[in-house]
Amino acid sequence: MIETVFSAELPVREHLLVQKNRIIGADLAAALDAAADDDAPAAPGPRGNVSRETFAREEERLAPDAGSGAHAAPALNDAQRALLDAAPRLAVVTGIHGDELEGQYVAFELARRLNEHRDQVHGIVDIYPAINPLGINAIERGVPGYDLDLNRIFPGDADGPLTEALAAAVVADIAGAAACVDIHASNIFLREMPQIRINELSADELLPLAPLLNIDFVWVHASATVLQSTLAYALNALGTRTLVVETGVGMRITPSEVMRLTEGMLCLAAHLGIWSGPFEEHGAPLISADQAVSFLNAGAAGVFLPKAAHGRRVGKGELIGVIVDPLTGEVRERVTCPASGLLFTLREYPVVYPGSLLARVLSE
Amino acid sequence: MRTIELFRLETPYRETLVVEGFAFGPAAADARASVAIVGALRGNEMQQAFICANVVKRLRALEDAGALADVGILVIPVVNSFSMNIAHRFWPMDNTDINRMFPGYDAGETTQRIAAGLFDVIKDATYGIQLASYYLPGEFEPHVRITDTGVVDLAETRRLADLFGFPYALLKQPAPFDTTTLNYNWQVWGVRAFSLFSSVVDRISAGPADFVVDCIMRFLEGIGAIRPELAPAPPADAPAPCEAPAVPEAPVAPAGAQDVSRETAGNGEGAAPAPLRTGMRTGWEVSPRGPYETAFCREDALVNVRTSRAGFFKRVAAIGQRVEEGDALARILSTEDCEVIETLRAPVAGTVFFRHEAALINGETIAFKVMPA
Ligand SMILES: [Zn+2]
Repeated sequence: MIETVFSAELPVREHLLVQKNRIIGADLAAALDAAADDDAPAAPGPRGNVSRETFAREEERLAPDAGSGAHAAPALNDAQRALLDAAPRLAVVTGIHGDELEGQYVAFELARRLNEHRDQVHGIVDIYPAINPLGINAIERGVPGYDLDLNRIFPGDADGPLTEALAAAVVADIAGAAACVDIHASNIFLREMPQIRINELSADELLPLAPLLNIDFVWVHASATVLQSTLAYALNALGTRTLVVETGVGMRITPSEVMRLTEGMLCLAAHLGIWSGPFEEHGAPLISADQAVSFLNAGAAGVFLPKAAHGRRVGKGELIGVIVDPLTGEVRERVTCPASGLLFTLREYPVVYPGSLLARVLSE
Repeated sequence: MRTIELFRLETPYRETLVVEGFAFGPAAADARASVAIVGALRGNEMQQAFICANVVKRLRALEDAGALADVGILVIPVVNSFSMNIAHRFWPMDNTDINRMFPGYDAGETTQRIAAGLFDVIKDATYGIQLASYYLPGEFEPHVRITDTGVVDLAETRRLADLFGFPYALLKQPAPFDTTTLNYNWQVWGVRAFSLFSSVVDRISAGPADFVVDCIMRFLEGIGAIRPELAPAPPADAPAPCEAPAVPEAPVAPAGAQDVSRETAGNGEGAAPAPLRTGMRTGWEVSPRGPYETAFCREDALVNVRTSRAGFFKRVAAIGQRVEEGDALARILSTEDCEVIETLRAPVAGTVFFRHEAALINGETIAFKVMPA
């Protein structure tokens, strides 16, 4: 069922809505229905019942107050709430950055698969396709009107401005899940192989889960202070294990990779005891720390033309690409590989400044 | 005045970006102390650039009169000219914020390199002053802000902050993202760092700009960078550095404990309230306001006033205005029929410190901050 995690009124007949798709397994749904006949409800309003029909009526009743499109959570009694709290829950989050769309496919495909086989779902899968819905709508990475990267203000503040109140509501909603996966695409500038990035502070808790997600490699990075303001950091600090996936490229969907990732979500759900249906497993990923990653930054300004293939092994001294000057017809820089290894990041957006990241290579 | 090139970056399709600063007083080796004053790190910080440019103008006059002492002063009015020239707030290509890139990295992405190039020059200053802007669109009571990184000597910092003569100094507890700001990193490097907030950002508000320029000049005099006895007399036809409005847009002076009443402060150019402090002469007291006894407050003492509804934003209270609990601060009007759908009221008695500034406002956001009396 669709639930609203955060709602704020916008000036002209609209709400900013952060919504999630709560998919409840058949066995849990039956238990909830049975519990509906228990004691009187704790919350005000009519007695809750989790069947689809009841929710539809509930939504109608709440609609005028909640604003168009808003879905209020149904009133639950204590027994039902206890059942939901005790059930294992997987949270799949994406769309914090409005220009990253790879996760949209995963959200759709995962919901489709789970909906088809509710009998094989045991517990709860919460899918949050758009934490920054206005950004996705407007093709803006940040929050339109606030000009701010949403993934730099977590854990947020319920008493703060809209963006921070939104962040706080998202954290509160996800906290307590058995695991959370935050799916990012790369930005529009770089193409990435499917990978998981783990802050070294959470490595012990997260490394056992990471290989389940069908990614090519796991990057355990040093704890930079800037990353303390991400959703993943905030949730891990609260004890909710959260993995960050980076894959593909901004503003595009790469079907082969996101299908693999969807299977990975099912694999993780199975590991958590939430899914008993089929899933495909990919080979074990490479696991690496910062020391093995080489960065190639542009030394000149101009247009970057890649010469090496993304996702392949490259040899030391091999030509990765050239930076050319369209005005003079000159090659400004030849970019060669400093060490042999896996070319897991490659620049996608052609225009570069000095300093623009062109490639990352994982040393062998 | 010496023009110093701080950083140079070749760019695609545009002229080379050159960040320049203007240096006064002795070179580093001969200086007793040094001050770095940084203006626009963001492309929309016009008021901040304007204030710095006025400081350059005043310092040049003082230098000509031989009134500068043995303190090196470096003023950088605009760092992010590349964004300012094309009406962008952040870096044009990737929308990154230079003020989230400190201390910078000279082999990293473009804005990391800019931050590194700038920081390399200003990290050894004795004092650092940044003309800063807030991330929410709005107007502030002018104030000085100090980040409490835990490494600063608070008593010493308070003594220094007091030299500006702002009505308020705010002590800010750093949030995670603050660790990449200029102010924070200055402190980590042992610089006494101050962020100055003028009233506005992306337009010029002359009165508050004058006031902040005066504050900076008072600070420079307070640390012995200016020899007031040699300073030229203020121009006869003051206000000098910029055209002050005929009527102040918003009263700036604080009320309450101070003996400057709202009425006096709002009385226009002619009726300047007497400065609260005597015994300090900047030679540049063209502004009718200040200096003030600085009230030190923690930032979290500010009380947020949040909206629940969205619509047209009709402000009632002015920045710096003294309000009683329950007083109306603003009304939110329906965008359909202009009926009042929410009245925002002061949750406590105090001074209006921050006010949302736009024709429209969203629900679930901050419209005001009130400093409790
Ligand atoms: Zn992202």
